[in-house]
Amino acid sequence: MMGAAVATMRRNLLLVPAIAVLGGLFLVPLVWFLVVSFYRVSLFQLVHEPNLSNYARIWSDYLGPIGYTAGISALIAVVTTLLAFVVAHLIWSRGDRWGNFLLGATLLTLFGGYLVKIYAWRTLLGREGIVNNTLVGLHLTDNPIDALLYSPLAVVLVLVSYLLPFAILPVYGALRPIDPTSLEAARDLGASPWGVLRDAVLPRIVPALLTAFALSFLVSAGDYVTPRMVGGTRTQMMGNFIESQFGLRMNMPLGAAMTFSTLLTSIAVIAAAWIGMRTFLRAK
Amino acid sequence: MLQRAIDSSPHSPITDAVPAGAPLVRLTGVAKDYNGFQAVHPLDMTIERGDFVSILGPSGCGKTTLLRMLGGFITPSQGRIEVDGVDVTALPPEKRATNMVFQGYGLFPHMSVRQNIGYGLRLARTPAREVAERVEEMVDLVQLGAFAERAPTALSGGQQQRVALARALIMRPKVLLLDEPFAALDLKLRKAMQDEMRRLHDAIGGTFVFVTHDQTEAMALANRIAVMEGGHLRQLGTAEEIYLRPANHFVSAFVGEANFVRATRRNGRVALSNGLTVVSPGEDGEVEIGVRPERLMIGAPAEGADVCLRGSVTERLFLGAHVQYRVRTESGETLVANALEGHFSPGDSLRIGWNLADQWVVAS
Repeated sequence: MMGAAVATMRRNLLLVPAIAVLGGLFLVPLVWFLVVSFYRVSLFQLVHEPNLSNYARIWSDYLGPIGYTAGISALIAVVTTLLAFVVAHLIWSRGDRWGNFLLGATLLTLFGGYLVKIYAWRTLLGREGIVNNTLVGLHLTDNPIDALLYSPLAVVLVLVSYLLPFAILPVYGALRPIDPTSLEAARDLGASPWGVLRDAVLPRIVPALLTAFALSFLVSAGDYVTPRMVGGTRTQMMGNFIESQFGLRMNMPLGAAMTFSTLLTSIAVIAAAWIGMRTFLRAK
Repeated sequence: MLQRAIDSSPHSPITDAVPAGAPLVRLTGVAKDYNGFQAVHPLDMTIERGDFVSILGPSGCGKTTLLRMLGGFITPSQGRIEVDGVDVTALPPEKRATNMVFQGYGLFPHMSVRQNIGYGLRLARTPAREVAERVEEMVDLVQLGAFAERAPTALSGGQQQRVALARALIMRPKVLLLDEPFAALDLKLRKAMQDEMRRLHDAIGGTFVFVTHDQTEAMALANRIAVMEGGHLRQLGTAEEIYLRPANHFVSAFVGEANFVRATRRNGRVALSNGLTVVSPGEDGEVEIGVRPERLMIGAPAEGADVCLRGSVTERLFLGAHVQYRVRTESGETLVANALEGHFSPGDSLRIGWNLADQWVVAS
């Protein structure tokens, strides 16, 4: 009996570093920001008088940007998850050399840094970029299209290409243990190739699809570099507003309130995605 | 009740158009070539209604390829497959009136046993009430009532096997295909499942095609056995025909044990080494005479046998049910004889013989 208790204690002891890191570097600051979000700033000093003025201001001034951020992030997450499924399914269903090549290529793209990818897209989409030069060269347009870069479309393209490998891996990991015989069995019992996907594949990888969606959504909703580098003046996402409150404007309470508003919106979107997947990706 | 249910299969709108005597399945020159590797050589085969056919052969003989061509998972390189008078050669599995029990079962782990069994009917847009009724019927038939709400992963191998069987049978297939369904089970369970398969076939009728590498299993279950080797169909016949009158050397040696005695055929007669000749139509040349070990007589009984040779015992093995003797004949051939009594020892001289009715002749 004593031995078991000691063993349990030892095992729990092993968790201490992880809990310390998570608690000290994540939970404590988060709680502190939650508290701060109810304060206000006067002459660059925090005023410790709890009130809801920050949230009232977000309700009146920032619902639009929050909605826009959630919308564009959801679009990015949906596109990324769909593409991730297509690529992961391709890698998985081709167990051969071609599948391995695709998997290798997917992993290889992880070596390119985030900023490198942004600049690569700027090179592609810019006024003097490859796409515009080609279009002009082929006389498909007379003048370069400025809307390619510095547009919401550019933000979507950059973030989808950046997030895709991260989304492919969990989906591929979930597909791998699926027994191919069960797919043949579904065919045998009357399912079309699409029916096999609907009944024998998708319902079994809902957690991975949700992971891919949540990962893509959260990174997009929190991003403030991509919108600034390729989004132009019209693409103002919450990350940019929050950054400016913490930076230039030195209004930490409003920034914290914005952070929590965005966080709550994100949780709502992911919960909706989860319910949606559970409802629609269910076996017949 | 069940028999009628099977005959009124939803897949068979054309049943009446086919003459009563026509075989249910007809393979004509069916072959499969994988980039130069001939997995199945062109073969013809017919399966009658109600048949329990076993495709028997060593691994790599093409038996699973043949079964998968019947199920629609492999498209033949040439030839034609007809089921109930309909050419199904180009049809995908979901459009065929055949259903398969897979090796490894392929159950859906995200569905309960009941949902697994009812899946095919739900796909066919069968009314929910009828699905529920037929699922219950199947659950009872395979005796899984107590496990119907469980996930298949929570079941034992034998139980999973029965779910796979029920899931295919509920579709009332014109032909039920089984791909080594008992390979993963231990010996005792395999025997029990074989009994259950026989009981099922007796109870519900239908036509079963069963792939196995186990000749005992083939004999225990099938009324007709197709022996395959190297992509060729070597013989198709009843268990008795396959065992007692094998058509060639491979079947003789693969199905049970066999002794071979070299001989020569001239003008339709085969001359044995002891001067005896027997009538055996066929091409002239070297032949082999085959005899099963348990048909060989040794000692006194051999003296009255149609063919009687002299020899000496080189080995004696007590195997429980019988004693196995290895006997070297005067002409230098080694024969294996299984006898019930065991009073000979190595070195003993004895007579060994057999009756003409127990031998067969194959080209060597």
